[in-house]
Amino acid sequence: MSVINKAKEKSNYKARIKRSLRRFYAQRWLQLFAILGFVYILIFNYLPMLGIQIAFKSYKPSMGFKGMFTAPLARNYGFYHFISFFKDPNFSIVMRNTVGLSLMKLFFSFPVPILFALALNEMRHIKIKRIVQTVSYLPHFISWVIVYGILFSFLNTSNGVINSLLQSLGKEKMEFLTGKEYYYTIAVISDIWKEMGWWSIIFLAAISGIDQTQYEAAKVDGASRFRCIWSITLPNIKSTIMIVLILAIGSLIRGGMGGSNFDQSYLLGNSLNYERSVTLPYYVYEMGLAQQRFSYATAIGLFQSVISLLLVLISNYVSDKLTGSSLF
Amino acid sequence: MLATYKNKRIKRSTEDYIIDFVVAIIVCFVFFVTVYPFWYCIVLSFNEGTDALRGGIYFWPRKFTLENYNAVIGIDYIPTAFMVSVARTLLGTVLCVVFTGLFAFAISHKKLMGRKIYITAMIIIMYFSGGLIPQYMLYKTMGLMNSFWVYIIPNLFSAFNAVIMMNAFREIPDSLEEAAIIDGANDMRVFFQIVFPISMPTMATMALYSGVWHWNTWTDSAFFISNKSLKTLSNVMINLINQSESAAQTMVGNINQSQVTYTAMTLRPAAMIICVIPIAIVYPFLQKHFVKGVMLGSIK
Amino acid sequence: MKKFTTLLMALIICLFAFSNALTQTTWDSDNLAWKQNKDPITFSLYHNMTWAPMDVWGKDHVSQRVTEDTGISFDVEIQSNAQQLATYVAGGQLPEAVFVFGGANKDLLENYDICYAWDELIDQYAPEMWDLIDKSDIQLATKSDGHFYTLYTHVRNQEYWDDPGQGVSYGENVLSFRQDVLEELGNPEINTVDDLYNVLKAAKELHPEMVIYVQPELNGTYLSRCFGVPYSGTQGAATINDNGEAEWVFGQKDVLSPYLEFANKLFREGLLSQESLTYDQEQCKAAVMAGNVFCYAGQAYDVDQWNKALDAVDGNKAYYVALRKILTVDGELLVNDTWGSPGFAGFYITRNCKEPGRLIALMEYMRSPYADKLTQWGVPELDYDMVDGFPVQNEDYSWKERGDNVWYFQASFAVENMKALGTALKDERFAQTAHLVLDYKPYWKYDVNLSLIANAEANTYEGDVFATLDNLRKTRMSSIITAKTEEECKQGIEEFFAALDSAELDVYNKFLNDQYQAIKSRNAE
Repeated sequence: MSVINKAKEKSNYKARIKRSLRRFYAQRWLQLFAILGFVYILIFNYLPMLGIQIAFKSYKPSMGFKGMFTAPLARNYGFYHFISFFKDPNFSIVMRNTVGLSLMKLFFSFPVPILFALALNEMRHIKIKRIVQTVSYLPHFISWVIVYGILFSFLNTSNGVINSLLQSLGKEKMEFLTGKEYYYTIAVISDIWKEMGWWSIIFLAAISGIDQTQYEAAKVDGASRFRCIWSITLPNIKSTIMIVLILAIGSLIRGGMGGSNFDQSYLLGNSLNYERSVTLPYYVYEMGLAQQRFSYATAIGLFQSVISLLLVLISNYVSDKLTGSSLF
Repeated sequence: MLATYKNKRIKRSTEDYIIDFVVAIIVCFVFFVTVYPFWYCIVLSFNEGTDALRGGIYFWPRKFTLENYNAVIGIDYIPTAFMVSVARTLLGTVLCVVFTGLFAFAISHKKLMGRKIYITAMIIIMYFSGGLIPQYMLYKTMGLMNSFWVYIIPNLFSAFNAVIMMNAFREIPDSLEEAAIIDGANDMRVFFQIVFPISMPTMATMALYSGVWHWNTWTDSAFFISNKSLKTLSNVMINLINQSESAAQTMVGNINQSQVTYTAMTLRPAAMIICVIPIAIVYPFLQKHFVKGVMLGSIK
Repeated sequence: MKKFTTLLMALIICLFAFSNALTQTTWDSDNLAWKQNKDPITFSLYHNMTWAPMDVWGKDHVSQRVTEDTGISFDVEIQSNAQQLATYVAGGQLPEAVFVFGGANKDLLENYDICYAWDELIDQYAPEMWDLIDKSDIQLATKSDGHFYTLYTHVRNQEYWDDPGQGVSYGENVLSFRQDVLEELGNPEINTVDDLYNVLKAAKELHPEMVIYVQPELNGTYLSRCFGVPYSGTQGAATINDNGEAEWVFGQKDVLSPYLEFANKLFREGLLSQESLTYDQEQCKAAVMAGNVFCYAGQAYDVDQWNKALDAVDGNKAYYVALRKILTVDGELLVNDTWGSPGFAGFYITRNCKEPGRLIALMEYMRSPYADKLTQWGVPELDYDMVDGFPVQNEDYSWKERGDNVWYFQASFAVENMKALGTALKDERFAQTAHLVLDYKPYWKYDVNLSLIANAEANTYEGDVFATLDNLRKTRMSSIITAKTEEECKQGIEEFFAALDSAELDVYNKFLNDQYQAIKSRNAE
């Protein structure tokens, strides 16, 4: 009996391979596209990832490239750099600022592009709509250095507009640029201002892909405009919203959607608001790269990457269960 | 019946007024808040440098001058940098959108074998990177160092774009593809002749994002290119924008030192505006693809 | 007979001296290495003088003259970001020559595998150069492996210091006041920090709309110097304590506390601008140019430059006069600056260089007084004229056309200072620098051992400790100064020193002291 079963298994096995090969052949073009991309990222992304090993070693640049492989293991079984980071007096400040700022940005700046895209979509005058939309993404192009320059000339205490106004009204000058308490607000608002128009483009594109017949059918049924937005527009771009949200959560550490934590910390941050402005990307630069401590920088970078990936996986899972759409 | 329907004036309900009002407020606010800083930069760029340092300029130049623009355009290698930037943006964007698009198209099919592996591989690279030194060695080994191709080849694939595109392709009803395949088209033709045009809003967006990224990115030029005639415009401008005061003046000036009136405060906005103008010109052409109603009638 | 012998002896002595003079190498000798070969050749060069972004050789007068004299040209690359050099080193992509400043960069390059050792190059290609170099310069640049990989520019040695005509650097941090407001206050005497406090207070009462005291982050160290915090100079900012040990000054509570509390008092009474504590040079200048600053701390050189810039503005009344002394604290002069600058930048010949002999010959050329003046002043008669023994530069050419202070590979301090003083001579109103550099000279002490202490190398245990300590210093001190109440300030000080202790300050102090003792005993021999 078992001999027959084994023979059956063998022929099943062969049949399965045959079926797979046939499937593969049927989708050969798609496989070609996929494999081309796969090989590409193997070479250009995975091969360089070998450099991550220096996070566990005592690497010096003078060791050259070979040194990445031959450098000695760092203290504490290779975890010296990670332990250094956790023991750093600024560790808790850095983490609190990074997470706090990114959550705030997510909470406040994530809905804004969507609302703006919806509002724009409801406009009647095509010409004005086009102009406003074009103008709205212009801030994306203003480099952070210039944004800082603009903020400085408006907010500084010697001849800034806002402070001059306050003085003429008899009030005290406010130290916007150096006061700890203002940093979060300025960072979030400038982030929204800079990226809102840019991100709304994705949502506008998604909205324009919606089948118009749905709207017509709803109107015939007597639906109000608000109802149209709520029941047609939003659900149709739901997958786009969720994808962008998942990606934004994944970049939480780098700075919400715009990834602006580094630039803001570097430009708007200074020794006086450090307690609120130092974020992880800036810390990696300040304490790692700028001091040629490649191993240390790589270790913290690895820490960042692992957390980001975890966040993506978790949010993907939750999104899948809650809304049915997910990244993968 | 149809005739009377056409002649009837469309009634505006209160809800319409409310929504229009809210929309108008939002749009006006956005308009001024985004235009004003840009306007401020334009005003500064047309103002004399040392005068601008004293502050108080908000709506119109106090001492009008074209010298900032003259100075920025006069920087060594600006013409070549401009050409290099244009070339890499055009070539890089087209190749990136096609290459990434094909990959995204493939993995948007649920029945693709190995799909989970491809997607996982793609997600991981968004968060893990080996850093600068291994990139350095890789490019050196491939002969990309100090070559124009270092702008193109390492940027053929964008995981972010792939994710967005994959999502857009998934939205396309399967019936469309099946109809085409029944008619005898292979996957390549399906992509270029059906999927690509239908998802035009998304593709246009990806082209815009990719194009703008290519135009603005400067780190590859700074790290991997030492040949000055291969530097990009963005690199030259970032150098100007990030320099300290005296360096900025030295970078642009051939004028007698004591007569120098440029300051970083006016040179920087001028540099930035020069970088933005090409994009502002190209954008309207892409914008028309975000218009509604491309999907209509396709199923028929 | 005797007469004959004496004559013969005299003749022999004369002959000897004469032949010695003939073979003694001088800067004009014919056997100098750089004179032997003037074939045109180009090397690749990397430099990080980002304030002078000259990235082309041969377009300015100085580099043209250098090529004329030696046949050497360079293909130049300027640093575009801070980790570029380290990346080049790691990737083996260093150009043939590197001209950089900065302790971390020097540590990176001064390595036998990465750069040629000059002592070996001199032995091989230019042995006559040994006669021309000062022993103390060699001593400064020699590493623990016995080699030296460069000779630093802008070294100030004993000879320079003993010259009464030479002063401190024109970047000396000083304090300047608005002359018109001082006159309104009756030109008070300012000798102690309490006098300063009174003057600032009086100015605020008279002019509440003015910004009273601007103390920028960069070059704003005048006040801290009055309390004994040394500024720049010694690398790790170490001082000698009562036990003769070297200690990091920012870890010394008895020195830092009085300064922090005094500065905090100024802040609490609205006399110190909070925002200014974060200013860099540009922002400080902008604040001063805006026209309502009473007192600011800055470089001596900037005092004249900014007065000149203000003068060019229509309707300007502001003119700043710098204080020509350091203030005392409770009757004591606490200032504690040591001179003996170990040099500014170094020119390195990397192992990627194909003809190191030509480059070491170029260094020989660069060390000559002629080239020193050329690379720092410009081409003689074209770019400058000598007035009263100081070079005054020709205003018809811009800096970019002259090319001075860019290719100064073996520059000396004296020559650089002379130029700054020459510039100041043109108009008496803008010549405060000239006497400031001499006024401040007596405040500096000499301790060459202290100045030889090197910073902890990056990527070592002590280096990591120092990175944390320095970060604490940079980020906590200004918060302490801007504490809202006296108690908050005192508490901040306690927390600061506690944090330093738990960041292993003792490890770093031991590192400094061990070095100091070793250098002391080495130099005592």
